[in-house]
Amino acid sequence: MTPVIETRELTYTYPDGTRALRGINLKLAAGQKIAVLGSNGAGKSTLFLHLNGILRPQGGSVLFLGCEIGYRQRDLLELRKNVGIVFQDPDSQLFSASVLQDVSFGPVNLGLPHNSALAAAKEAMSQTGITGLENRPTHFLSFGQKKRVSIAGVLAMEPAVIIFDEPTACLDPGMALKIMDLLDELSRQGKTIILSTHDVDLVYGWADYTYLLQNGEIIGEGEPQKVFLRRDWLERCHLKSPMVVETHLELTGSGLLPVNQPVPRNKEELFQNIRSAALAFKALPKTVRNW
Amino acid sequence: MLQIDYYAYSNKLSGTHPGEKFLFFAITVTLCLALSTPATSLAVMILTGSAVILLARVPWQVYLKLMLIPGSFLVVGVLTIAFTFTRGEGDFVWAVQLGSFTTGVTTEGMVSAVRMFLRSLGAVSCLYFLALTTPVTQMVGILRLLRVPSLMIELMVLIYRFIFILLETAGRIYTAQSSRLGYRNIRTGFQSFSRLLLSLFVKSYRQSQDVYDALLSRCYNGRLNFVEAEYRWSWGNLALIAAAESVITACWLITGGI
Repeated sequence: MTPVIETRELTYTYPDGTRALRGINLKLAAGQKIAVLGSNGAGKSTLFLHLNGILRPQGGSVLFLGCEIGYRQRDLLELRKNVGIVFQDPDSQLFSASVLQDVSFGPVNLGLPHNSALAAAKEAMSQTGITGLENRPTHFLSFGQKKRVSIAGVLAMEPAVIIFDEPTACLDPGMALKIMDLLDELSRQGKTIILSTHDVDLVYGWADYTYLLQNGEIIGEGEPQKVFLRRDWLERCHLKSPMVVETHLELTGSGLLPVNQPVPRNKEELFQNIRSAALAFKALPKTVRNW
Repeated sequence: MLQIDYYAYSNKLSGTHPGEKFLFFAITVTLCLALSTPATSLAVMILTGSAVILLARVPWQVYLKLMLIPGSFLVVGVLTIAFTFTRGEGDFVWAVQLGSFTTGVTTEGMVSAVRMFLRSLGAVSCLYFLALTTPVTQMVGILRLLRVPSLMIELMVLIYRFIFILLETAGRIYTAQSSRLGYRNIRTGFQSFSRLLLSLFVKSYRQSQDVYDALLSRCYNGRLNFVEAEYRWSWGNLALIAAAESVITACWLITGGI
């Protein structure tokens, strides 16, 4: 299957000499939940700006559905219609003091007539749970509310791929969970979701595929159950391993769980493993247990 | 200014059709300036004042305080009109002889000062009605309707939004500085303030780049297009506006118009 987005040997150096990307190769499968992990300054945001044509690669190329993207105005509009970015700081995304004006900006730019644009904006606002905020000015909103308005502004354009740059940064755990639920919902609708974060516990149970980015290079990729077992990769990225993986390794290492047990995919699977091990232990004859 | 902005969004008239509010403002201010008798000016003030306090539910203390600001400037301004400076005779209520000149307050001067005062305050009260009931986001819609060039409107949208980002950023920097004793005396105060201005400038520059990127990623094509919220015209409100304007005109007719 053709990947929805592919990059080949992508390089980019900022005017001040910072080599932000040093040959990035990605193959993002359609409909997947993809996490890009890396410490601050690893190049995540720069990479994302390439995926919808804001930055133009200095070397290598970006492909959308197998075709190399063009940088003429018409091509860029077509690309940005399909690939949306939710920026990390909502204040840099919200340009208007009116929530409705801001959310309807994208759909109107796509050339939708007034009524359809309004309908698209309202639908996006109900999906992100901000319908009641329509008439509140952006400067009276809390950070979490602003975040949801900025997500609605991208959803209203109904892109097939949505990129979230650190969607849970600065949010309280409750709001972070709500945003992650929204991402799951969007994924169920068939959208490809890409997010960047350094919260390994958040990503571990969520992602289908993971990239580890460090210093402008991909140093590891794969399914989370494989990537997060590679201590060397995690150390190079200054990341810790997820609690679920640590617990699993501890339990198998100390013999409480069978050594050949596969790594659990999420917290529930880990708990299930522990429960069945406990049941198996209780089912043993008393003499054996006491021994 | 921020207080006015707060009430513009939270008043009870914020949900009514912006066109109605603008219509009331435009007709009233025109009548106030065109039909200028003290009676019409007073009627304008009472009507706009009661619209703000009774209909929009802005606390009267706030409204009074806001009216006092231009009011006090006006008092100083019209004092110069009240005083007459003449060589000849005059109908002086109170006068001082300065050599061959007489300066003082004539009945005529006083009347024209009072007229001017009431007329200006009447016009100011109309502006306050608009400012306190109509948020800037709704004004944008009215300006579009009035075919104001889109460049001006877009500038207004962006500037208005950035005022708050700038204030918030400046506030945060100020807190960070004062928590490290940045303003303990005048010397450090000046130093901290200059650094605040500098970092505010740098941050604004960066933020403007980010905003531009974010706009581009949502297919920005050089024009800020968006949909306005929809409001319904209310016949009741239109009738109320017509009644208010009739009262003002009636005041003018009774007190010797035409």
